[in-house]
Amino acid sequence: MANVRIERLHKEFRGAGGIVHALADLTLDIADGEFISLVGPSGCGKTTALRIIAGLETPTSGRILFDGRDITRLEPRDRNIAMVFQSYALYPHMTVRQNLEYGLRKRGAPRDERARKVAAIAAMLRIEPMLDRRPLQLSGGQRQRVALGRALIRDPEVFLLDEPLSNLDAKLRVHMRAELAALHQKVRTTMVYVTHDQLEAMTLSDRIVVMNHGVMQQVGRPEEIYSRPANRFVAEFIGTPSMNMIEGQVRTEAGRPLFTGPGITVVLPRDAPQALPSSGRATLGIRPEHVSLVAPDAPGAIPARVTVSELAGPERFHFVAVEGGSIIVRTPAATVLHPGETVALGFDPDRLHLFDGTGEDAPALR
Amino acid sequence: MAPNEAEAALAREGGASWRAARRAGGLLAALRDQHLGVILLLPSALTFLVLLVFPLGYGIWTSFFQRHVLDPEGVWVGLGNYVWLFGNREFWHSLTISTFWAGATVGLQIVLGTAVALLLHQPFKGRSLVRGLVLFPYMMPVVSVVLVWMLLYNALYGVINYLLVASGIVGAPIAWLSDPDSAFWGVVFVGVWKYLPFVVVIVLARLQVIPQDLYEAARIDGAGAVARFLDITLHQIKDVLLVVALLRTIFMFNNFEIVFLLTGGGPLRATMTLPILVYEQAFGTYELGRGSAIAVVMFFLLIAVMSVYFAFLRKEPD
Ligand SMILES: Nc1ncnc2c1ncn2[C@@H]1O[C@H](COP(=O)(O)OP(=O)(O)OP(=O)(O)O)[C@@H](O)[C@H]1O
Ligand SMILES: [Mg+2]
Repeated sequence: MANVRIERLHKEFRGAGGIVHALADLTLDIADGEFISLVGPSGCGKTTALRIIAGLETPTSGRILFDGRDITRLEPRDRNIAMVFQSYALYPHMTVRQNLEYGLRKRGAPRDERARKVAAIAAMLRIEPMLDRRPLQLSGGQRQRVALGRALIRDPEVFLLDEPLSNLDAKLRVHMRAELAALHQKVRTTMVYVTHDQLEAMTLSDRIVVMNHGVMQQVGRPEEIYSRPANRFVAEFIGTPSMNMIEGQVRTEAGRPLFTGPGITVVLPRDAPQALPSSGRATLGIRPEHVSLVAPDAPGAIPARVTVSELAGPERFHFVAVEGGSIIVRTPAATVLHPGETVALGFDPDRLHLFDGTGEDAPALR
Repeated sequence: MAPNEAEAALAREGGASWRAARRAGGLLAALRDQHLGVILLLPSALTFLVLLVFPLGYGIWTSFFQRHVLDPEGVWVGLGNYVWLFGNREFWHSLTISTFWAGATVGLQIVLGTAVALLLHQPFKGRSLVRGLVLFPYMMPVVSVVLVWMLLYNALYGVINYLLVASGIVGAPIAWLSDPDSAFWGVVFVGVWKYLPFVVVIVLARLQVIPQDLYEAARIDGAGAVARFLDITLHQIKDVLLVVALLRTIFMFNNFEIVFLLTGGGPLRATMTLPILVYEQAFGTYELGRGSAIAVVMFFLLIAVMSVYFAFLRKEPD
C-alpha cells in the first residue's frame, strides 16, 4: 500500500497530426488506501494519466511519487503496481490458473507459494471451478474477475483500473460494481479507477477527479462534486439528466442580486456572492430535481410548455420549453404532464448555481 | 396520349417479366434445397474434376506402363515401375536430398523470416520503404534470381569469393556450385533468399494484429523482452507459422527450377532432388512410366506428411 503523489504532470503526443496535449499540469495527492476515480469525456486524458502511473508511458514533464519515492523513470515491473485493462488483456493461450500466477512466476515465486496464492484469490473471486479453463471459455463477468485476480494476486501497492466494467452488460455491471466496492473494503489497496460512467465513480469513490481536455477541473468527494461543482463543465458533466443552464445577466437591484435571462427573472438569495461578474454575463444552473411545478400566479413563476414527458422507472423527466430554450424537470412518476400543456416552474432558491460567464470553464460563484 | 401509351407498355412488360419470375420461382421451389445445392456446386466440381483429378489419375495410370515418348501406347507393367523404383539407389538418394532440401529451406525461411518480420515490426525511420524492398526477391523471376546468384557465386569473378578472399577468410576462391561439398548449401541459400519474403509478409501481418495490451500486461507482470517474445509473440504467431511451414514444405519439396537451373542436380548428384529425377527419367531417358511413378510417390509422400501434420494440429487445443 502506498500513497501516490502526482506532481505537475504534462504529456504531449507528437505525431503526424501535430502535437496533442493529453495532460496539462496535473497535480494530485492520493492517500494510502483511497479509492479515487478519474472521470471525464472521451479523450480527456484519463487513460494517459493511468498509463503514466503504471509506467507504460513516460511523461513529457512532471513526477510520480509512491510514498515519497520518485518512480517516474522506473519500469512498470519495478513499481509494484497492478493494472486491469478495459479489454482484460488475459493471455489467451494460458489457463486461468496460468494467467493468475504469471506475474508471480516472472518474479520467481516458488511453486507452493504460487499454488497457495492462486487458491486464495480464486476463492475470494469465486473462480475456482474455472482455473483450468482458458479465457475464451469464460463469460465476460468471469474474465473480468480473472483480470482482477491477476492484478490482486501480487498484492500491489497501487491498483490501476481502466474502465474495467465497460465491456459488461448493464446488469452485470451493477453487480460487479458492488463486488469491486466490497473488494476495496477488504483489501484496502490504493485504487485509481478510470471510467466515464459517473454513476460508477459516484458509488465507488472516496474522491472523484473530473477532467476535461487534459486539465483537472475539480477534485472532491462525490457529494461535493455533485452539489458544489467548481465550474460550468463539472456542473453539466456530472448528473443525469444534466443540470439546466440558462445564460443571462446578473445585476443588483434594491440591494439584492438579480439574474435575468430570456423571459426569466430570478431573485438570488441574500448569500449570493458579493463580487458579481464584472461583465454582468452569467449562467444560472439548476438541477432537474430542484425545479418544481408551481401555481401560475406564484411569485417568480416561470411559464413553460411541455414538449416531451419520459417515464424513467420511479420518476419522470419532463422536457419543457421556456422562452430562452428548454428545461428538464424531474418529478415522481405520479406527476403526469401532457405535451402541449402549459405549466409554471419554480426554482429552489437554495439550490441555484451561478457561474461567472457563459463558457465551459466559467467558475462557480455559488 | 403518348405518355399514357408508354406507361401501358411498361405495365405490360412489367407484367410479363413478373409472370416469368413467377414461373422461375415455381421451378426453383420445385427443386428441393439439396438439389439446388448440387446444381450450384456443379461448376466448381467439374472444374476440380477436369483440372485436378484427371491429370492426377492420368499420372497414376501412366505409372503402370513402360512407356517411351515415341511409343504412346506403352506396355502394361503393373507395379513394375514401383518395384524398379524402390530397388533403385538413385531414388533413395534423391529422396534424402529432397527431404534435406525441403527441411533446410523451410526451417531457415521460418526462422529468418520471423526474425526479419520482428525487425520490420519495430518502428524506425524509413520502415515502409524497407518493408517494400523486402518483397523484391519474391517478385523477381526465378531465372533472373538464378542468373544473379550464379554471378555472385562465381569462382573467378563472383563478388562473394572476392570479399571472402580479400578479407582473408578463405585462402582461395570456393567454387560454390561445382563443389559437391558446398553445392547443397549454395542452392539452399538461394531457395531461402527467394522465398523468405513470403514468410516475412505473413508473419508481419500476424504480428500487427496482436493486441498491444497483452505486452503491456506482461510488462506489468514483470516479463522482460525475451519472456514477452516466448510467452506472447510466439504463441500468437504459432498458428500462422504452422500453416506457412506446411505451404512452404509442399512448395519447396516440389520445387524444380531453382535447383535445376543452378546445378542441374549436380555436381555428382549432390543436389539431385526428386523433381529433377522425374525430369531426368521422363525427358532425359524418356521413361515416362518411371518418371510418373516417382511423381506419384512424391504425391503420396506429401499426403502422408500432411495427414500427420493435420492430426498433430487437431490435437493442439486452440
Ligand atoms: N499514443 C498516442 N499517440 C497520440 N495521441 C494519443 C496517444 N494516446 C492518446 N492520445 C491522445 O491523447 C488524448 C487523451 O487520450 P486518452 O486515451 O488518455 O483519453 P481517455 O480520457 O482515456 O479517453 P476514453 O474515455 O475515450 O478512453 C486524446 O486526444 C488521444 O487522442
Ligand atoms: Mg481511455
